[in-house]
Amino acid sequence: MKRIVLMGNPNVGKSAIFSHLTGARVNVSNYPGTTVEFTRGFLRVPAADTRTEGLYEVLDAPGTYSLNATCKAEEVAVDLLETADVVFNVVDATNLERNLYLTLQILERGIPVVILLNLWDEAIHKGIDIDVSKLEQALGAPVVPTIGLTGKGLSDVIERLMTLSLPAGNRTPKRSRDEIWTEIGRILASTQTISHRHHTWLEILQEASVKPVSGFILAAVILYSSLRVVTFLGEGLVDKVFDPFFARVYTPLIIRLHGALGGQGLAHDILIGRVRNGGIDYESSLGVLTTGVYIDFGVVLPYLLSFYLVLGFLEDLGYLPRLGVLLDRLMHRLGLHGYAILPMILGFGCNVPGALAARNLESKRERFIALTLMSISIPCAAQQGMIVGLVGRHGAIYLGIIFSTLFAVFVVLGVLQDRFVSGYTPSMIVEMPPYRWPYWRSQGKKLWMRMSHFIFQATPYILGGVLLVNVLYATGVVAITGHLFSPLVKGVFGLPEEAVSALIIGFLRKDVAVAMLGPLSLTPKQLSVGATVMAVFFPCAATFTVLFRELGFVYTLKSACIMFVTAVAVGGGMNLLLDNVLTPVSYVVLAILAPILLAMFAPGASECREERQWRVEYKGQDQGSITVTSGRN
Amino acid sequence: MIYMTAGTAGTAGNGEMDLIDLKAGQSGRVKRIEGGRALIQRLEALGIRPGRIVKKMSSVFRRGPVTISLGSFEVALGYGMARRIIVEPVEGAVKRCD
Ligand SMILES: Nc1nc2c(ncn2[C@@H]2O[C@H](COP(=O)(O)OP(=O)(O)O)[C@@H](O)[C@H]2O)c(=O)[nH]1
Ligand SMILES: [Mg+2]
Repeated sequence: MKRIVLMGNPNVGKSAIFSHLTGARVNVSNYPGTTVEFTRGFLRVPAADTRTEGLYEVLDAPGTYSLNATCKAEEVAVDLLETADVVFNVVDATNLERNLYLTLQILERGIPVVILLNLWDEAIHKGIDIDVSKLEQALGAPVVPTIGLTGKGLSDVIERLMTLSLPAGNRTPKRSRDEIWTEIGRILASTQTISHRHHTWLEILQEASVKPVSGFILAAVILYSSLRVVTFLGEGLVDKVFDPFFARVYTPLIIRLHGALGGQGLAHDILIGRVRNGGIDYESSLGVLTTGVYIDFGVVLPYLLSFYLVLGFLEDLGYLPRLGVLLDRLMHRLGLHGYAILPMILGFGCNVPGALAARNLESKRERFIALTLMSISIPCAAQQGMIVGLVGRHGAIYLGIIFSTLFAVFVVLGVLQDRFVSGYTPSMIVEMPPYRWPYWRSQGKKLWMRMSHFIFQATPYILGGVLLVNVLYATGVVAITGHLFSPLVKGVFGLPEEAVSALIIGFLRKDVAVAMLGPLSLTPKQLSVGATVMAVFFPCAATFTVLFRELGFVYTLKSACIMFVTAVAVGGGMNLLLDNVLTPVSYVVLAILAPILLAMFAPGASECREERQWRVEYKGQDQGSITVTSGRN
Repeated sequence: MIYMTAGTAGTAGNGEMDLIDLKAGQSGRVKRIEGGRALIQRLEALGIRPGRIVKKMSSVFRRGPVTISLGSFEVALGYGMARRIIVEPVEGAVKRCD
């Protein structure tokens, strides 16, 4: 089977095209670095021609700007190129100059290439006129305009693929980098004309987003309204859809099952759990079909749905990298640069994709800091949903306590890691995607992809988690470990011994673990401590697997130690402060202000190191720097 | 950091400066990149290379990142990176890039 590799700069629509070609579902987002691993799919073309087989393997490579790989994701792309029978070079038609640099490098390799002039709709919209047949001549390879969003032009691409003649050996001799740029200048002059046009309001907004004053105002507005939309939609879904569904449809079914099972016995207790005065309390019955299903669909799903709706919008708009620019200064205090905000934000959805996105960070130090910070202080949407559902009813201030504590942990731990984790954090270089009005169909696709992932992959774990709780109780494990950890759980955290079961389940699923606190009839303060400890304590099994894969054994162990120590310190601290010293409100104020002051005035350790690193690099490679000689342009 | 004071012949510039000192809204022609080969290649692949005219869009705080426009797209560069890109200011010469 022949292999087609999709190559191109980051954020040019490779994944969009890949999903149209293969029907496979992949993440498509408006910022560089969405794809860090390659994805495989298959393309069947009508075997009209005997020279071309019917079935092709298609690989969606991470984006790269050149074949001189400068980071891990780019290395993957360059390695894939070596294995390609055919390259589909996806090119951003609105950015020919930058994109052709890679194109010319690929063409030098002597592999058959089809060039996909993507974002064609946007090029037209921006008044960029490209003479396709001239470009084809200049490059010596087929060029086809495409629109990745709709799949327009892809049938032409396949047609060209079938008639692609295989060049023998190297087609073009290797040129120097300067020669390539001169060539690009020549090609652009003869094929592209740009008509002048006024700035659109999206472009004006784009500029305002990274300016100091307007940028922070916009960020505040966007983040605040995102939060409002998520809670509004989430509550609306619960009140209008999920609660009525459970009350009117699901409960009668369960009652009937309760009767059919005879109201008792092992199967009954596992499936339905404890029934009080003939009614079902979904939160405390602990049955797989009651509490399990309720956590999954009644609490987490609505929250997740509204969260991903908003996240998808911000992703496709292209806002997130700009938030990274605004926060770069602050993130440096935590040993990270601004773009590291992206994995963190993805982590608020689910830590797994967040941890994978951290692969875009260059140094091992950054990846370690980012992954540790994320696993400790960023609760995933499922966990947040459960916290909001369980703790929120005691008053928003308790949510404030939990989230401000997590914020404080994030900042303090970041500052500490910046000090004590060796290595340096390079500055960022990121292309800012243009703002694009999100296209509703791809938004829908993405939302469905994420929701179905949750429904099909997470549901078994949630139901299994509830089942496991029953087993732990029945076998007495809870009682034994409860006794064992009693000094910690009771003495330090001020929680009842049974809370140990929740902590154990936390290894499996955080949402179930938080739900386990429900039946323990805790005070609001105890709930806050429990939920926070649960978040900090340990990542769920799925995240842990990714950590292990990304960091290796030793670093995962280090990270786990940090988690454990932090959890004990934070749980103990909360228990102590909230009991005798501070009112909830003053606690929240302190938890927000103190870390900010710390971050502002703590000396930035990595920054000094960064300076040093560069001086060394500069001295060492002085010959490498180029000085301009001519005034061309 | 050493600043050269004399303007280079044939340009409208008033000397060299790094991207931090270039004012927002001003354009500059890249003179050189004070970095190792890796940095140079990385910037070059984005089109940031000697001779290229870039426009500074904004900067966040004194030691924050700088956003520059290369005509059809924008790049954000961290402070440390921006300090190492030496440009020569040009005035009103960016028709092609706008
Ligand atoms: N207007 C327009 N948007 C596109 C087109 N192709 C892709 N996009 C959008 O461009 C962004 C980047 O696409 P993606 O496939 O993630 O790019 P990748 O990083 O190269 O894989 C997404 O927001 C897409 O919806 C196109 O032809 N026209
Ligand atoms: Mg992609």
